[in-house]
Amino acid sequence: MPYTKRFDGRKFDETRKIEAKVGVIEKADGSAYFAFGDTKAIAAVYGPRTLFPQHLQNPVKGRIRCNYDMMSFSVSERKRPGPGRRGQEISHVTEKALEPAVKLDNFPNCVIEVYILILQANAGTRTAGINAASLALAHAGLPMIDLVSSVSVGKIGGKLCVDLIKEEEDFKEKNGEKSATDIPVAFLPRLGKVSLLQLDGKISSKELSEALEMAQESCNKIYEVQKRTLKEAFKEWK
Amino acid sequence: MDHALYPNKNRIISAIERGKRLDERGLLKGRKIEVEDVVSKKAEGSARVRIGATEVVVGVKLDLQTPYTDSPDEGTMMVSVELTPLSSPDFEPGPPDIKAIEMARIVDRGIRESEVIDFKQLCVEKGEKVWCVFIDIYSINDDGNLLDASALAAILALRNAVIPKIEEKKVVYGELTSKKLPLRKDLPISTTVYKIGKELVLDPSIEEEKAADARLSVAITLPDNIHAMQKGGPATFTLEEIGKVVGIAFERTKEIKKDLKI
Amino acid sequence: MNMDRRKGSARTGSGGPDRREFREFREFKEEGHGGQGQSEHSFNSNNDSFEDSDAQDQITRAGNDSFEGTGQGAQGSGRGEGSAGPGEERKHEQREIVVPGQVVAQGLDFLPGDGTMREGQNIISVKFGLLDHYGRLVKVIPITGAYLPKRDDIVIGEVTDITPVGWVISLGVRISGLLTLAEGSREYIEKNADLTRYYGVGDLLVTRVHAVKPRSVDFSMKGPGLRKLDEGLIVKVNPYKVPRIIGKAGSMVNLIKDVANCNIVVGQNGFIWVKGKDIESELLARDAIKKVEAFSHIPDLTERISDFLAKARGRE
Repeated sequence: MPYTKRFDGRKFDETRKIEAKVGVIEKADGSAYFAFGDTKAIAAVYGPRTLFPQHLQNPVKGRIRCNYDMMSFSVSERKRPGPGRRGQEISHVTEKALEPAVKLDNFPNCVIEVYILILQANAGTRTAGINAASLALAHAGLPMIDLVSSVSVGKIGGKLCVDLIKEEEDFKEKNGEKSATDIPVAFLPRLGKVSLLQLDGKISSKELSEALEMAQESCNKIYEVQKRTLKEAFKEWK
Repeated sequence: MDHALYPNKNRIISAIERGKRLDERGLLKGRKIEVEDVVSKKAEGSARVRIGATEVVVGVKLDLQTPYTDSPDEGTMMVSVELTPLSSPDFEPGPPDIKAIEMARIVDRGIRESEVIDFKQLCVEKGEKVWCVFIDIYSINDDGNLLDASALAAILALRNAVIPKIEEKKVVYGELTSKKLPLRKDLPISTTVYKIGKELVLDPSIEEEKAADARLSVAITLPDNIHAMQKGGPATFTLEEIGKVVGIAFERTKEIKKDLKI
Repeated sequence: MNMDRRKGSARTGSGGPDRREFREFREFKEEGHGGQGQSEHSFNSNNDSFEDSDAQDQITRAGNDSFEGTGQGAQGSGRGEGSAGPGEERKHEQREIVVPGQVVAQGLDFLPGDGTMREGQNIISVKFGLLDHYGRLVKVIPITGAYLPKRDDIVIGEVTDITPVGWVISLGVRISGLLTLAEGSREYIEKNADLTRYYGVGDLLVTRVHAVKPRSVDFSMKGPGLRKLDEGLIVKVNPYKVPRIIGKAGSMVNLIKDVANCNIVVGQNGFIWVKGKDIESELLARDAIKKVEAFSHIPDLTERISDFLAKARGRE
């Protein structure tokens, strides 16, 4: 069955409603909230501070340590609190997605801690988390050559879509065969470079390059929202 | 390990002994409370509570479990607290430490002992299937008094919790029934009073909390039921002070119930 | 820990603009101790308004325009991103807020200063902050972030431990270091001396970052005004707001000191010590400092703070 109309009525190249805010956690050195519709992420940045244990220190450059977790009630079936294998992998790829944007050579032997917490999940939690974390890193005053903007693209029932929701990720053909390819992507949007890429499913090379172009276009729009969010983070005098 | 510094202990104590707080509140005056219902659509119930800059999010999830053998026709409950490293430079990643465990236990006993949840109604099939109510508390920003914020958010999340649908003895998540979680009308409110210097203080900021030598938590329902108490911290209370704390907790409970209309 | 930002590519300007920037730093540099380049931003009471003046006469006043230090240009300009700028105010002009990756100047006529980098023809901001021009030099003044120790920063720290080789001083979460016996006091300290006679655990010190090493920081108490602080109120602010709290030539901190009638010492790590005749004065100073921190991006801030203080005083 061809996928002709999206479950939530969006255009195929349209993201869900984006909400973003910085400075949401007073105690953190930098913090942000980012939501794609029902998928909501908060991120906090602490540091740079000296990395312990000492054997993990790198005398040439600093390190980003990311900690992604979902609230137990962010998903339908309760997730046990604390990190599982999935969470650890996402923490790891998020770290690598953010790293190229930050000038870490300024901070030898130090760590920048990034904590991401998912409040509510409807697919795309890692991409929302990366968008929040990128804002939080900038908000923490860290030197960065670019922001990081992230979105998932996919092929659903033969049709390319951006910012997939759960029903799309689980899309099945009439014969019951699963027909969803999910590709989370992150860009350094100014430089046009990819810092996160994962893929699950089945897609041709031509479709892949089309999907990535779609992702880039979408990330550029997210980038505009991120820039605006930072610039509007100032209070009026009262 | 170096934690955040709280160097104003003596200033706080000497000001409080003159009846003054650094944020100009009265000793028994709480900060502004803001509440938000339903912060996660995936939860059966959820709430966010802000007390001043302190913020917690609580979610309630329900799952079918086999009942305990000594109460085959009653549902069960589990409370967990995650003091997330996101919410304070003082918290480290990792499994809950004793501070989080004690906090979860205090919230648990306030709810359990006040019998606010009617566990009998949570029996699906005697001896076979009962509902387990998971109450999971996450700190978002710690500016003091996470305990009362957590207990309040837990109650508010329970209040909007709805029982999910069951099909063939399995839970169908995402499809909620119209049946609310069975709660008694008299919701318990937990109030913690801190002893700073010689004075009793309500709703401390994080700096004040660090300057406190002892605390006493009291969970009550109106008009006059005390359901759970817990003394914490190294210092002591006189019997007279305990009487005062209980009085303060009743006043506070009335105030919160009136303000939040619960 | 080595958090030296000077190595970063952010500082690529040639001598010219650097020196200009340095001269502007000079405006609020303390008088008379130029040789060591200490304590640009640490201020103390002018000892006319307040009694507790034993040590503070050693700390010189801000804003001596006549002082033109020489021979420490690198020092002054190298203070880098952390000290942001002289906290000067420009009338009726809100500086542009920029984000990392934003092109802030085009063409080779401009030189990239702190918080920026060159990329081909363009100068790019690498920070979230306020855009500023110093002639041809373009820089971005950060407004948020954690404190990173830099050599010769005057900071306020807490003694958290005493070891045989000296005192452990903490500046906050995972920023701590050692105050050795050799640097612990202007007087000679015997090897087996009772160190608590000098400073005990819990004492607050105005101290100087003596060295930033790969894994630790060393402090020194040798220098004017460095001392154990009496009990006062510690106000914590974001370290990047410190230049604004000091103001041009100390104008802001002096205004607050005068109106609130308090003695104030500003540490580069964002710890500010306030001591007045009563807690009410200290809280007034605290409120003013917090206001400067929250609205550091607003033009004409000194006037607004002056109004705020006058009104608060009037209500009493």
